[in-house]
Amino acid sequence: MAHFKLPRWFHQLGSPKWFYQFAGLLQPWLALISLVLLFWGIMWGLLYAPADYQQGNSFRIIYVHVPTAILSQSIFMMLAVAGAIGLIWKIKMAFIVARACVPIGASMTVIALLTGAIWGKPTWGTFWQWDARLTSTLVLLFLYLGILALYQAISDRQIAARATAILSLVGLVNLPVIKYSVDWWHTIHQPATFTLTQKPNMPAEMYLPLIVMVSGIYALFVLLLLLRTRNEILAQEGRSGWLTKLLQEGHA
Amino acid sequence: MYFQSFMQAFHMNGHGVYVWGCYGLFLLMIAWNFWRIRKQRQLQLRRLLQVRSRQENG
Repeated sequence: MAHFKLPRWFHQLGSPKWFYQFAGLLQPWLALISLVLLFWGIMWGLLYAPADYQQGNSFRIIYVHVPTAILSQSIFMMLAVAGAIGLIWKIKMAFIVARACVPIGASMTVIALLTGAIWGKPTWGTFWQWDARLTSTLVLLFLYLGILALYQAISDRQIAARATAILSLVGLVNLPVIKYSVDWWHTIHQPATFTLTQKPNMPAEMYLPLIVMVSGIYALFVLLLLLRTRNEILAQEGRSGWLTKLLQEGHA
Repeated sequence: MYFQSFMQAFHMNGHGVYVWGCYGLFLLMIAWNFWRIRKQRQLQLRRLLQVRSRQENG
Protein backbone atom coordinates (compact mmCIF):
# COMPACT_ATOMS: atom_id res chain seq x y z
CA MET A 1 0.00 0.00 0.00
CA ALA A 2 2.77 2.39 0.90
CA HIS A 3 4.13 2.24 -2.66
CA PHE A 4 0.97 3.75 -4.06
CA LYS A 5 1.58 7.46 -4.53
CA LEU A 6 -1.24 9.92 -4.01
CA PRO A 7 -1.65 12.84 -6.42
CA ARG A 8 -0.36 16.27 -5.40
CA TRP A 9 -3.79 17.90 -4.96
CA PHE A 10 -4.56 15.20 -2.45
CA HIS A 11 -1.66 16.28 -0.28
CA GLN A 12 -2.68 19.91 -0.67
CA LEU A 13 -6.14 19.02 0.59
CA GLY A 14 -4.32 17.19 3.38
CA SER A 15 -2.88 20.47 4.62
CA PRO A 16 -5.28 22.04 7.15
CA LYS A 17 -4.21 25.56 6.16
CA TRP A 18 -4.86 24.98 2.49
CA PHE A 19 -8.15 23.20 3.17
CA TYR A 20 -9.35 25.93 5.53
CA GLN A 21 -8.81 28.66 2.97
CA PHE A 22 -10.04 26.72 -0.06
CA ALA A 23 -13.21 25.69 1.79
CA GLY A 24 -13.81 29.31 2.71
CA LEU A 25 -13.78 30.26 -0.98
CA LEU A 26 -16.21 27.48 -1.95
CA GLN A 27 -18.76 28.12 0.79
CA PRO A 28 -20.79 31.00 -0.70
CA TRP A 29 -21.14 29.16 -4.02
CA LEU A 30 -22.27 25.97 -2.38
CA ALA A 31 -24.71 27.91 -0.23
CA LEU A 32 -26.21 29.51 -3.33
CA ILE A 33 -26.44 26.24 -5.28
CA SER A 34 -28.02 24.28 -2.44
CA LEU A 35 -30.46 27.07 -1.60
CA VAL A 36 -31.67 27.36 -5.20
CA LEU A 37 -31.93 23.60 -5.74
CA LEU A 38 -33.65 22.85 -2.44
CA PHE A 39 -36.11 25.73 -2.78
CA TRP A 40 -36.93 24.67 -6.33
CA GLY A 41 -37.23 21.00 -5.38
CA ILE A 42 -39.42 21.67 -2.34
CA MET A 43 -41.83 23.92 -4.22
CA TRP A 44 -42.00 21.46 -7.11
CA GLY A 45 -42.50 18.42 -4.94
CA LEU A 46 -44.90 20.03 -2.54
CA LEU A 47 -47.14 22.01 -4.88
CA TYR A 48 -46.56 21.12 -8.54
CA ALA A 49 -45.81 17.40 -8.86
CA PRO A 50 -48.88 15.24 -9.43
CA ALA A 51 -50.28 13.06 -6.64
CA ASP A 52 -49.74 9.31 -6.86
CA TYR A 53 -52.77 7.38 -8.10
CA GLN A 54 -52.48 4.90 -5.22
CA GLN A 55 -50.91 6.84 -2.39
CA GLY A 56 -52.43 10.24 -3.15
CA ASN A 57 -50.67 13.28 -1.73
CA SER A 58 -48.69 11.41 0.93
CA PHE A 59 -46.45 10.45 -2.02
CA ARG A 60 -44.92 13.96 -1.80
CA ILE A 61 -43.00 12.79 1.26
CA ILE A 62 -40.72 10.94 -1.18
CA TYR A 63 -38.99 14.26 -1.99
CA VAL A 64 -37.59 14.59 1.51
CA HIS A 65 -37.46 10.91 2.48
CA VAL A 66 -35.44 9.46 -0.41
CA PRO A 67 -32.77 12.23 -0.58
CA THR A 68 -32.08 12.05 3.17
CA ALA A 69 -32.04 8.24 3.09
CA ILE A 70 -29.60 8.10 0.15
CA LEU A 71 -27.39 10.73 1.72
CA SER A 72 -27.35 9.03 5.12
CA GLN A 73 -25.75 6.01 3.45
CA SER A 74 -23.38 8.00 1.22
CA ILE A 75 -22.10 9.90 4.24
CA PHE A 76 -21.40 6.66 6.07
CA MET A 77 -19.48 5.41 3.05
CA MET A 78 -17.49 8.64 2.94
CA LEU A 79 -16.81 8.47 6.67
CA ALA A 80 -15.44 4.94 6.34
CA VAL A 81 -13.33 5.80 3.27
CA ALA A 82 -11.93 8.91 4.99
CA GLY A 83 -11.15 6.80 8.05
CA ALA A 84 -9.39 4.21 5.90
CA ILE A 85 -7.31 6.92 4.18
CA GLY A 86 -6.39 8.25 7.60
CA LEU A 87 -5.39 4.81 8.84
CA ILE A 88 -3.36 3.83 5.76
CA TRP A 89 -1.65 7.08 4.80
CA LYS A 90 -1.72 8.70 8.26
CA ILE A 91 -3.30 11.89 6.92
CA LYS A 92 -4.70 13.96 9.75
CA MET A 93 -7.12 15.87 7.51
CA ALA A 94 -8.82 12.59 6.56
CA PHE A 95 -9.64 11.95 10.21
CA ILE A 96 -10.87 15.52 10.61
CA VAL A 97 -13.20 15.12 7.61
CA ALA A 98 -14.43 11.78 8.95
CA ARG A 99 -15.28 13.36 12.26
CA ALA A 100 -17.15 16.20 10.53
CA CYS A 101 -19.26 13.65 8.63
CA VAL A 102 -20.74 11.97 11.69
CA PRO A 103 -23.27 14.49 13.07
CA ILE A 104 -24.45 15.39 9.56
CA GLY A 105 -24.97 11.73 8.68
CA ALA A 106 -26.77 11.10 11.96
CA SER A 107 -29.16 14.01 11.35
CA MET A 108 -29.93 12.74 7.83
CA THR A 109 -30.64 9.26 9.19
CA VAL A 110 -32.98 10.65 11.84
CA ILE A 111 -34.97 12.52 9.18
CA ALA A 112 -35.04 9.52 6.83
CA LEU A 113 -36.44 7.38 9.66
CA LEU A 114 -38.94 10.00 10.89
CA THR A 115 -40.28 10.89 7.44
CA GLY A 116 -40.46 7.19 6.64
CA ALA A 117 -42.49 6.57 9.78
CA ILE A 118 -44.83 9.47 9.03
CA TRP A 119 -45.23 8.25 5.45
CA GLY A 120 -45.94 4.77 6.75
CA LYS A 121 -48.98 5.87 8.72
CA PRO A 122 -51.28 6.81 5.79
CA THR A 123 -49.68 4.23 3.46
CA TRP A 124 -49.20 1.08 5.55
CA GLY A 125 -51.42 2.05 8.48
CA THR A 126 -48.53 1.96 10.93
CA PHE A 127 -45.62 4.18 11.95
CA TRP A 128 -43.21 1.32 12.43
CA GLN A 129 -42.71 -2.30 11.40
CA TRP A 130 -39.65 -4.45 12.01
CA ASP A 131 -39.15 -4.60 8.27
CA ALA A 132 -35.61 -5.30 6.99
CA ARG A 133 -35.14 -1.89 5.36
CA LEU A 134 -36.41 -0.03 8.41
CA THR A 135 -34.42 -2.12 10.85
CA SER A 136 -31.15 -1.85 8.92
CA THR A 137 -31.62 1.93 8.70
CA LEU A 138 -32.16 2.02 12.45
CA VAL A 139 -28.90 0.08 12.79
CA LEU A 140 -27.25 2.79 10.66
CA LEU A 141 -28.45 5.42 13.16
CA PHE A 142 -27.06 3.36 16.05
CA LEU A 143 -23.73 3.11 14.23
CA TYR A 144 -23.58 6.89 13.88
CA LEU A 145 -24.52 7.33 17.54
CA GLY A 146 -21.96 4.70 18.56
CA ILE A 147 -19.24 6.55 16.65
CA LEU A 148 -20.26 9.84 18.28
CA ALA A 149 -20.15 8.16 21.69
CA LEU A 150 -16.71 6.78 20.95
CA TYR A 151 -15.41 10.27 20.15
CA GLN A 152 -16.86 11.47 23.44
CA ALA A 153 -15.42 8.58 25.40
CA ILE A 154 -11.81 8.78 24.20
CA SER A 155 -10.08 12.02 25.09
CA ASP A 156 -6.92 11.38 23.04
CA ARG A 157 -7.81 12.71 19.58
CA GLN A 158 -5.52 10.35 17.67
CA ILE A 159 -6.71 7.22 19.41
CA ALA A 160 -10.34 8.34 19.04
CA ALA A 161 -9.84 8.97 15.32
CA ARG A 162 -8.32 5.52 14.77
CA ALA A 163 -10.89 3.70 16.89
CA THR A 164 -13.82 5.37 15.14
CA ALA A 165 -12.26 4.71 11.73
CA ILE A 166 -12.17 1.00 12.55
CA LEU A 167 -15.75 1.05 13.85
CA SER A 168 -16.95 2.81 10.69
CA LEU A 169 -15.14 0.27 8.49
CA VAL A 170 -16.82 -2.57 10.37
CA GLY A 171 -20.14 -0.73 10.08
CA LEU A 172 -19.79 -0.68 6.27
CA VAL A 173 -21.23 -4.21 6.32
CA ASN A 174 -24.59 -2.63 7.03
CA LEU A 175 -24.71 -0.63 3.78
CA PRO A 176 -25.31 -3.52 1.35
CA VAL A 177 -27.81 -4.90 3.85
CA ILE A 178 -29.80 -1.66 3.63
CA LYS A 179 -29.48 -1.57 -0.16
CA TYR A 180 -30.53 -5.14 -0.84
CA SER A 181 -32.95 -5.51 2.08
CA VAL A 182 -35.90 -4.80 -0.21
CA ASP A 183 -34.78 -7.55 -2.61
CA TRP A 184 -33.65 -10.15 -0.07
CA TRP A 185 -36.72 -9.94 2.12
CA HIS A 186 -40.06 -9.20 0.57
CA THR A 187 -41.56 -7.16 3.31
CA ILE A 188 -43.42 -3.92 3.68
CA HIS A 189 -41.00 -1.39 2.18
CA GLN A 190 -41.31 -0.68 -1.52
CA PRO A 191 -38.33 -1.43 -3.80
CA ALA A 192 -35.77 1.18 -4.80
CA THR A 193 -37.16 4.29 -6.48
CA PHE A 194 -33.90 4.98 -8.28
CA THR A 195 -31.18 2.87 -9.73
CA LEU A 196 -28.31 4.28 -11.75
CA THR A 197 -28.81 1.82 -14.57
CA GLN A 198 -32.54 1.82 -15.14
CA LYS A 199 -35.06 4.42 -16.12
CA PRO A 200 -37.25 5.28 -13.14
CA ASN A 201 -40.58 3.57 -12.99
CA MET A 202 -42.56 6.80 -12.74
CA PRO A 203 -43.36 9.75 -15.01
CA ALA A 204 -40.87 12.60 -15.47
CA GLU A 205 -42.99 15.13 -13.59
CA MET A 206 -42.64 12.85 -10.56
CA TYR A 207 -38.96 11.91 -10.73
CA LEU A 208 -37.46 15.20 -11.95
CA PRO A 209 -38.25 17.00 -8.66
CA LEU A 210 -36.61 14.07 -6.89
CA ILE A 211 -33.43 14.53 -8.93
CA VAL A 212 -33.45 18.25 -8.06
CA MET A 213 -33.88 17.43 -4.35
CA VAL A 214 -31.13 14.79 -4.38
CA SER A 215 -28.72 17.22 -6.09
CA GLY A 216 -29.69 19.97 -3.66
CA ILE A 217 -29.13 17.84 -0.58
CA TYR A 218 -25.72 16.68 -1.84
CA ALA A 219 -24.72 20.32 -2.35
CA LEU A 220 -25.99 21.09 1.14
CA PHE A 221 -23.99 18.18 2.53
CA VAL A 222 -20.75 19.42 0.96
CA LEU A 223 -21.43 22.87 2.42
CA LEU A 224 -22.14 21.50 5.91
CA LEU A 225 -19.09 19.25 5.67
CA LEU A 226 -16.79 22.17 4.77
CA LEU A 227 -18.21 24.30 7.58
CA ARG A 228 -17.81 21.52 10.14
CA THR A 229 -14.34 20.64 8.89
CA ARG A 230 -13.27 24.26 9.26
CA ASN A 231 -14.59 24.28 12.83
CA GLU A 232 -12.68 21.09 13.51
CA ILE A 233 -9.50 22.68 12.11
CA LEU A 234 -10.05 25.66 14.42
CA ALA A 235 -10.33 23.25 17.33
CA GLN A 236 -7.24 21.21 16.47
CA GLU A 237 -4.88 23.73 14.88
CA GLY A 238 -5.49 26.48 17.41
CA ARG A 239 -1.81 27.14 18.09
CA SER A 240 -0.64 27.18 14.45
CA GLY A 241 0.98 30.34 13.20
CA TRP A 242 -1.14 30.61 10.07
CA LEU A 243 -4.35 30.61 12.11
CA THR A 244 -3.04 33.27 14.48
CA LYS A 245 -2.15 35.37 11.47
CA LEU A 246 -5.62 34.91 9.91
CA LEU A 247 -7.17 35.77 13.24
CA GLN A 248 -5.11 38.94 13.58
CA GLU A 249 -6.14 40.02 10.11
CA GLY A 250 -9.77 39.23 10.96
CA HIS A 251 -10.12 36.64 8.18
CA ALA A 252 -10.54 33.46 10.17
CA MET B 1 -49.95 24.35 -9.33
CA TYR B 2 -51.39 20.89 -8.84
CA PHE B 3 -53.96 22.12 -6.31
CA GLN B 4 -56.91 24.36 -7.07
CA SER B 5 -56.58 26.51 -3.96
CA PHE B 6 -54.20 27.10 -1.07
CA MET B 7 -56.68 25.52 1.32
CA GLN B 8 -56.57 22.39 -0.80
CA ALA B 9 -52.77 22.46 -0.85
CA PHE B 10 -52.83 22.82 2.93
CA HIS B 11 -55.27 19.98 3.45
CA MET B 12 -54.04 17.61 0.68
CA ASN B 13 -57.12 15.39 1.01
CA GLY B 14 -56.30 14.52 4.58
CA HIS B 15 -52.58 13.91 3.95
CA GLY B 16 -51.60 17.52 4.66
CA VAL B 17 -50.54 16.90 8.24
CA TYR B 18 -48.17 14.08 7.19
CA VAL B 19 -46.71 15.86 4.17
CA TRP B 20 -46.28 19.31 5.74
CA GLY B 21 -44.99 17.64 8.90
CA CYS B 22 -42.26 15.84 6.95
CA TYR B 23 -41.16 18.97 5.09
CA GLY B 24 -41.16 20.85 8.39
CA LEU B 25 -38.91 18.23 10.01
CA PHE B 26 -36.61 18.35 7.00
CA LEU B 27 -36.21 22.14 7.31
CA LEU B 28 -35.74 21.86 11.08
CA MET B 29 -32.92 19.36 10.54
CA ILE B 30 -31.17 21.77 8.16
CA ALA B 31 -31.64 24.63 10.63
CA TRP B 32 -30.27 22.46 13.46
CA ASN B 33 -27.13 21.69 11.42
CA PHE B 34 -26.41 25.37 10.74
CA TRP B 35 -27.19 26.34 14.34
CA ARG B 36 -24.77 23.73 15.73
CA ILE B 37 -22.04 24.78 13.31
CA ARG B 38 -22.48 28.46 14.18
CA LYS B 39 -22.35 27.77 17.91
CA GLN B 40 -19.26 25.60 17.53
CA ARG B 41 -17.49 28.21 15.43
CA GLN B 42 -18.21 31.01 17.90
CA LEU B 43 -16.95 28.81 20.72
CA GLN B 44 -13.70 28.00 18.90
CA LEU B 45 -13.04 31.60 17.86
CA ARG B 46 -13.64 32.78 21.43
CA ARG B 47 -11.28 30.12 22.73
CA LEU B 48 -8.57 31.11 20.23
CA LEU B 49 -8.87 34.78 21.15
CA GLN B 50 -8.49 33.85 24.83
CA VAL B 51 -5.38 31.81 24.09
CA ARG B 52 -3.95 34.74 22.16
CA SER B 53 -4.61 37.34 24.82
CA ARG B 54 -3.09 35.02 27.42
CA GLN B 55 0.01 34.67 25.25
CA GLU B 56 0.25 38.44 24.81
CA ASN B 57 -0.20 39.18 28.50
CA GLY B 58 1.95 36.42 29.88
